[in-house]
Amino acid sequence: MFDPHQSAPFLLKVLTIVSEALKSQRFTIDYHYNKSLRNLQMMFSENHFLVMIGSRDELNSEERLWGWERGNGVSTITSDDVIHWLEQERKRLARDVHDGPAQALTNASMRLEIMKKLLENQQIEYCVNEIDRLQAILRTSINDVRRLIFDLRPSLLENGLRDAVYLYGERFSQAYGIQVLVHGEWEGIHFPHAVEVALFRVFQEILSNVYKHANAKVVRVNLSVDDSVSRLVVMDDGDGFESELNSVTSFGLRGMKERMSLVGGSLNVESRLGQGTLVIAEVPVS
Amino acid sequence: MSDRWNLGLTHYSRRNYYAARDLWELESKEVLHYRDACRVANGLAAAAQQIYGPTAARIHLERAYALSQRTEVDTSLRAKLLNNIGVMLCSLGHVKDGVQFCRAAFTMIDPNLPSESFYTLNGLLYTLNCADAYQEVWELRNEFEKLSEKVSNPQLTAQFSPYFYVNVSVAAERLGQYNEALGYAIMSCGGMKTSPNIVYVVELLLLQNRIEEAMEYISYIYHLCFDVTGYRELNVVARALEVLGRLADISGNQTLSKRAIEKAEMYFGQLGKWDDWLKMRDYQFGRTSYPIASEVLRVNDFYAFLDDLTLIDGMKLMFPDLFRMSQLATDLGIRVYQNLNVIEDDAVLRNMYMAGRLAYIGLNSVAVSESDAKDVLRSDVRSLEMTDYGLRLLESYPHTRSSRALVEGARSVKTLRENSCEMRLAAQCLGIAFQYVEKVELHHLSHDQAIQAMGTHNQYQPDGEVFTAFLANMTLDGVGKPT
Repeated sequence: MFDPHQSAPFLLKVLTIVSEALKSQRFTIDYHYNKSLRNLQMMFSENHFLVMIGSRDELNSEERLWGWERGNGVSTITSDDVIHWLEQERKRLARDVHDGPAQALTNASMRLEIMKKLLENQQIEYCVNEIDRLQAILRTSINDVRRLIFDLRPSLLENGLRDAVYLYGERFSQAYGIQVLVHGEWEGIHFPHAVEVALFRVFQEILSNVYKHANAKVVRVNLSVDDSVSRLVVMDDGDGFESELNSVTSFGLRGMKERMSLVGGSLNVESRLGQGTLVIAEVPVS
Repeated sequence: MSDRWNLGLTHYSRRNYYAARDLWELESKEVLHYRDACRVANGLAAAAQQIYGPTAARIHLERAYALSQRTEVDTSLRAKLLNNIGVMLCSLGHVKDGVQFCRAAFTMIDPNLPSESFYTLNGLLYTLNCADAYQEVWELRNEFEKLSEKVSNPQLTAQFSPYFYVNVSVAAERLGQYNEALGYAIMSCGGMKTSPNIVYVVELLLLQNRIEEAMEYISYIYHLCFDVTGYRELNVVARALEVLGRLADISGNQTLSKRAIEKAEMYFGQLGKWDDWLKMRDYQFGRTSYPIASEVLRVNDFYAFLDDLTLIDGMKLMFPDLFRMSQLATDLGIRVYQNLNVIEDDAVLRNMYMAGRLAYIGLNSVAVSESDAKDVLRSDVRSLEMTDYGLRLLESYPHTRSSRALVEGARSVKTLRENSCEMRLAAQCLGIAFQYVEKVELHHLSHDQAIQAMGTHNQYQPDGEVFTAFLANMTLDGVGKPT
């Protein structure tokens, strides 16, 4: 159940993210807590963009929200969505920590064991070299931890979004045997940090859906830019689906749409049974 | 020797090491002759080696050695004892002493006793290789054939030949005689591509740039990687990583290669195999290039294997004793499953190996020390919580999806959601095996007490056929009567 008093830190974070995304635009925010329905409604008046935070059942029962018909630019974020996102982020973070600093520390401990054996065998010179190597490893680990704590930035994004998409596609391809063919460039485009993370996370989520649901053999990814928009297009040759509001797949897509809209972008999905799926993520060229 | 000694031997041969240990501990309190006490101490050392490792075996071997000095122990037993001590000392890093004991054992033995001769010869070669005395090993390369001429039992020869030939192969490789080394490595596999010694064959093929031939063995290397035996023999794992790392490097996948070579380096260092450690430490990437397709190299299996090792290394570091227990339980669970006469599916077995290794991974989240961790496992409630944390961690690793169900089902049969009959049985086999090992190790029950407790009040509540298969494996009468 949504309780604003307990969720204040979360709300502050949501407002901060939205504010950052829309900071170039003029807008006013109005909010209203509906005690009987126990949901929080926020409206960005300049863009007629309505955000509601509450439980899914309660939000679904609302037909008219502040005079806005459902479907007319009304976006909803349910507490279930929030929990799902948080859980997904937690898993990614757990994996990042486990593959990064945790592994490095385990390796450091194993190297110390080796150094002990080297000393027992009077191999002093080797031991000194090992100490140097261990210091280098630990320095890298410290940087990794800092990055995780302060940035939560996917390590693949260190070299930019374009390289991250290529590398992640290659890794996905190797891991799951589904060919990922990436083409195109975002020439001369520098994405703000929030946009990079959003696009990359959406890309990861799309491939995750392909793996879990699509039964596809090939995924084609195209990066392009024109005067007004940078575009990430992902097309698979899988089973496709019929879009239903409450299906698991649409649940994931709804989250992606929200993620894109928070950075001023959009996400569109076209799919038909037996004909694969096309996902287009766009952000305005800044 | 008494019936109890022989019962212990039967249990030992069936890999029921706790049962053998219990019987021989009783026997050691009642033997009258020093000769028998020496034999029993040697047996206890063997059981301790299997359960706890060489440090625990040492105590019994030292006692056995002291006993052997005080009386006329037959040469055969004394030679075996010296050989065991030599090998144990080597594995603990006391290589020079180890060689001394094994050399004494080999020279003491009557060549007309073939079994003992093979045994001590292999011990000597092993310790000589540990001591980098490769020339001496090479000069002994014809000894096995000379001994074999006196043996009419081919099974006996086949039992000892892999160890002999692999040691000669290692020595030949160190002396730069790659062709000869390859020949002996192939002989050490006994015509079986599933032999752990395959890693030596592939390594030598790669050293001679015979890459096409090396690639024919890739699937067997992976089979070894996911086999629990392979992991318990860290040397085999390290070599598997080395050859896979070399192949990845040759194919141009240096990210993967670096991960594998670094791990191989650390494992060789942990084993004190300094020549191999240096080879990995100083490995130069990118010197050879050959197109190997990702699907041929099985890159997804490679990443899965490396991820497994990362998880296992962390677990082993924090809770070495519990990791050892989980390996014993996994071995037992596999044997019980095989007793069920189901059609053996490689995928199910692989999932069992993986689930067994990772069953305690959740302890990283709920315990800060091994004693703390043991308290968690003693509590039904906390052990379920531990499993939940483990499953959450494993969710970040997609390749563990199938084995996660086994991890969960092994702790609580009520949570079994798997519809496949084989997976349900597999989970229960693991569950019952873990239950047994935990009763013996954490609740300090004897083998018989543990079996009885599981029969009278089994909270895990496995299916009847699973429990029957378990009893068939663990008891000599198949119904659970005390031995």
